[in-house]
Amino acid sequence: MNVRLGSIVASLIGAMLASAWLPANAQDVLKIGVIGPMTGPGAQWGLATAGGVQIAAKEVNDKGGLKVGNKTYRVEVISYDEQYKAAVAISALQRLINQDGAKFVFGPVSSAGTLAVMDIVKQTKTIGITGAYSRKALDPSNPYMFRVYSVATDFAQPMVNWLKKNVRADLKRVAVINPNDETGWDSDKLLNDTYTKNGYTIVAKELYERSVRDYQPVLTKILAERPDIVDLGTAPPASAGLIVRQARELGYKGRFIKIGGSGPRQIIEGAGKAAAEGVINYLPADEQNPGYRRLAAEYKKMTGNEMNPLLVSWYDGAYILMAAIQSAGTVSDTDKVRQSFAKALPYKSVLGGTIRLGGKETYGIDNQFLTPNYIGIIKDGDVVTAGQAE
Amino acid sequence: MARRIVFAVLALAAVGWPFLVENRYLTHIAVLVTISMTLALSLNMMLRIGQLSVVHAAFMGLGAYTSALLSMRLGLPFLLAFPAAGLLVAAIAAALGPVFLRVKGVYFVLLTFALGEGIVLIFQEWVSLFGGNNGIYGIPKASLLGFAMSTPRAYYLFGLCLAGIAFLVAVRIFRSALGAVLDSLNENEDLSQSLGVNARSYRVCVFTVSGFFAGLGGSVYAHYTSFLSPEAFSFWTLVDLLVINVVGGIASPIGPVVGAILLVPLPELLRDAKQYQMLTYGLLLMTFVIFLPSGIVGGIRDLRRRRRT
Amino acid sequence: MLGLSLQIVLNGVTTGLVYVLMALGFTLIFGIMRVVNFAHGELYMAAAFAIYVLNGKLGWNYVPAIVFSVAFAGLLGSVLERVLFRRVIGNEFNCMILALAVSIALQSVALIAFGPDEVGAPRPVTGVLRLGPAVIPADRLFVGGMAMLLLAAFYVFLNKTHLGLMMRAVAQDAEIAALHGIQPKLIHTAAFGIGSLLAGAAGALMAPVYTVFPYMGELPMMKAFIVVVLGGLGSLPGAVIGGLLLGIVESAFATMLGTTVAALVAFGVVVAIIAIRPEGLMGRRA
Repeated sequence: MNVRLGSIVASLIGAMLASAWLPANAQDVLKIGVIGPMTGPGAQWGLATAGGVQIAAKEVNDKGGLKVGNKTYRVEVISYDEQYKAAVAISALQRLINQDGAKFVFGPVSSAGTLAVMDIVKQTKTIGITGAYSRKALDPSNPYMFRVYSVATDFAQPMVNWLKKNVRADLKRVAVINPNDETGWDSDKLLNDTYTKNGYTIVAKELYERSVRDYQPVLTKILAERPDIVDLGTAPPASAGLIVRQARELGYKGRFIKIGGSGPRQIIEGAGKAAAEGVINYLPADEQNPGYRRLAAEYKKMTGNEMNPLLVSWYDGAYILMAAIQSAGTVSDTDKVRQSFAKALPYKSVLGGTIRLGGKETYGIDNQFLTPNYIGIIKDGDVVTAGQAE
Repeated sequence: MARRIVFAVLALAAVGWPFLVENRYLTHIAVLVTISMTLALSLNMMLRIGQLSVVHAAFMGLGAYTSALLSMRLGLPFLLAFPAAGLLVAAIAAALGPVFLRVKGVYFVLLTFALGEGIVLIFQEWVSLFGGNNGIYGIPKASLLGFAMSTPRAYYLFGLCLAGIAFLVAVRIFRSALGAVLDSLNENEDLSQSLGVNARSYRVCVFTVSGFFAGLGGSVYAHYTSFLSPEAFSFWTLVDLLVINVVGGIASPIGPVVGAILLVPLPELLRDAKQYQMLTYGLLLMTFVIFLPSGIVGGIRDLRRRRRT
Repeated sequence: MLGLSLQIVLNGVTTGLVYVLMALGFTLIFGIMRVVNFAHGELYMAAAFAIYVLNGKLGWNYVPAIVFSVAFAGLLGSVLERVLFRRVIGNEFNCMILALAVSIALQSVALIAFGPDEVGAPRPVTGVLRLGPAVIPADRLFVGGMAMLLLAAFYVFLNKTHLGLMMRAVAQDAEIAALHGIQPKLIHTAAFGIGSLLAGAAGALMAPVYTVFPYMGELPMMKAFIVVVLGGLGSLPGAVIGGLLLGIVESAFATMLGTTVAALVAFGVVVAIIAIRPEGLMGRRA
C-alpha cells in the first residue's frame, strides 16, 4: 500500500508542478502493450488482461499521470487480440514494438504465444509480463520475461497444505486425472510428487485424450481403485465439469479438487449444480473481498460484463510495473526497469495480500510474481471462498 | 508493349519499396502476403482443374515441419532444407495422386479433407517429433550462401521471388500443351479421353506441382516465424486461402495474387473487430459466390469483354 | 470380456444412432439437390443453443422446448435454401463454397451471441442403468430411443406420405419427376428443411449430454461425412447402416486403443473407401 500511495502522491505533486510550469497538453506518453485472446476460446482471460491493465492505467491518469524522475507520463494502453494463435501473437508483438513503440507488454496469455515471442522479447529487450502456464515461459537465459501470477508449480504445495488442515485426515487415497498433452504431463508429475511428499497415496493416475468427452473408460479405471479424492489437474474447466458429472453418475461419492487452472463456474456449467457441490478449486482472488468488489464494479461499468478473477493479478501487475519504472527512474532503459522489480516487490495487492518476487528454485530466475492463493468451494451453484492457501 | 512497361514498373515497385519505406511492421505484413500468395497460387492450380482440394494447408504444414526438423535435428542448411520440404510434399502428392485423383467433385473434397485432418492430427499427437500442440520453437533463421536472412525485408524479397516463380509456373502450365489438355478435360472429359488423353496423369502432375509449392511456402513460413504449431495448418487456414481465390478470381493466376494483397492485411486493419472477422469472411464469401463468382479479376475481365462487344 | 464387449456395443449403438440422424439429413440434401451441405453441423448447433435458451434460460418445459428447437432448425434450413442455395444450385463447386461460407457465418453469429464458452443445458434424464457388468448412462439411452422413434417417423414419412413420395421421385430422377408435374423447387426447400430438422433433432437431443458451444457442430459433421462415405452419398439405408457401423467400430477402437487411433482409422477408412468404391456400401455411382 505504501508503494502505491507513494507513487500516487508523487504523481499528484508532479502533476501539480507540471501543470504549473508546463503547458497543459505537453504530457509525455508511456505506452504499455497488452496481448491476449480477446475473441474465441480463452477470451475471458484476454479481456481480463486488458481490463486489469486499462483500469490501473486509467486510475493513474485520473490522478495526473505517472511521475517518473521529473517527468509525468500519461499511460496509454494498446491492446491486441492474439486469437489464441501463436502466429498472431508474434504479429501483435511486432506491431507493438515497431509500430507503436511500446517497451512494456502484458501477455501473451497463451503458453504457445508466449513461447513463440520469447526470442523477440529477449532480442528487443522488451519487458514481457506473461500469463502463460507453461514452465518454459520463465528461463534464466531470458531476464526480460516475467509471469504475473502463481501457477500450479507455485500453488500445489500450499493447496495440499490447506487440504491437510481442512479435509478429514483419514482421506488419503488420491486419484489424479489429466489431459494427455504437455500441460497434462507436467501436472501429472507435479501432483504425483506433491501428494506423495505430503503423505497421500496416489492410487490412480490417468491421462485422457483431449478430444474425448466420454470419460467413462478412464473413470471406470480410476473408480475401481476407490479413491477418496479425485484431482482434476489441468483438465479445461468445462471438461472438468463433465468429468465430475460422469463420475457422480458412476457412483463416485468422494471429493473433487482441482490443482490446476481455475474455472469453477465452468465446472458448474458442465457438471450441473448437484454434482458440482463441494468441488475444491484454486482461486486467484477472493470474490467477497471489498477490493475485489470495487474492481468488479469498475469493470462492469467499463464493459458491461462480469469480471474474471484473474483481472486482479493483471491490475496488480500493472501497478507493480509502474512502480518498477518509477523506481528505475526511466521509461526507456528496460534493463534498469527489470532490475527494479526486486525493489517494487513485495507489493500489497488490492485485495490486501502480499505479492512477492520469487521463482529462483523452481525456474532458475526470480521473475515470478508469487501471488496469494485462495481456496474456493462450490456450494449450491456458486463459489464460496474458504480461505487462503499458504 | 504498354503491358510490359506496367509490369516492369510494378515489379520494380514490389522489390524496391521496402528499401524506401523502412517500416518493420509493414514489411512483416508483406512477408505474410507473399507466403499466402504462394499458397493461394498452389491452391489455384487445383481449382483451375476443377478440383477443390482442402489438404493444401496441411501440405504447407508438412513443408514447414520438414524444413524445421531438417535444419534443427540434422543441421541441414536452409539451402537444402527448403527444396527438401517442397520435394517431400511433392512426393507425397505424387504418391497419393493416382489414388486420390480417380475421383472428382465432392468425393475429392472429402478425401483431401480426411487427409488434411489426419495430417494435422499427427502433428498434434506425435509429440516427440512435432512438439504437439505447443509446437516447435527456436527454428533457426534461414541463410543463403552465408548471407543470413534476419530481417523481414530479406524474407519479403525471398518470399516475393517464390511467389513470382509460383505465378510463372501457374501461368505456364495452363498456357502450354498441358494446359490445353487440362482445359479440354474440364470441358468434356469423355471426349478427350476417347482421343487418348490420360486424364489422370495430367491431374496428378498438377497435384504434384501444387504440393511442391505448398511445401516451399511452408518452409519459408517456418524459418520466418521461428515457431510452428499445428493450428497454423488447420482447415481454417485453408478457408483463408479459398477466400483469397474466390474473391480474387479462380480463372487466372492473377486472381490469387490480387486476393492475397487485398485480404492478408485485412485482419491487421480490423484488429479491434476481431469477433466480426470470421463473420465478415463468411459474408464476403457468400456475396462473391452468389453475385461475383468469377472474383474481382474475373469480374474485371468480364467487364472489359462486354465493353469490347 | 463379455462385459466390456457389451459396453462397447451399447456405447457404439447409442452414439451410432446420433450419427445416423446427422448422416440422414446430410445425405437427403445431397441425394435430392446434389448439394454438399458443409453447414449441416451448424444446424445441429443452432438447435442445441435453441434448447439451451428455451429450456435453460427461459425455463420452458422440456417437451415444448425440444419441439420448438427442432422446428427452428428445420425452418432455418428451409430459409437458407430459399434465400441462398437456390441461387447457386447446379454449380457444385459454388455450392460447396457457399455452404462453407454459411457454416462460417453461422458459427460467428453464435460466437457473437453467446461467446465461446461451453454452457450446460438442463438435463431431462439423469442416472445410469446397469445391465450386468455394463454401465450405460440413462441420457444416452434416452437419446438413442428418441433417435429410433424419429427414424421410424422419417421412414413412414418417406414411404407413406405424398411429399415423401415426391422426394423419392426427385431423388431418383429430377427430370422425369418434373415431367410428372412435381415442382423441384418446392421439393428442394422441403428436403433442405427436413434434412436440417434431422440435424437439429440430433443437436437438441445431444445438447444436455455434454456441453453447448459455437463449434460443437464440427465434429458431428465430420462424422456425418464419414458415415455417408461409408454408406454411400445419397443412400438413405446406407446412412443408417453406415452410422451404426461407424458408431460401433469407433467405440471399439476408442476403448481399446484410444481416440486418436480411432480417428486416424476412420480417416483411413474414408480414404480407402473413396479410392476403392466411391459409391460406398449402398450408394449409386455419382
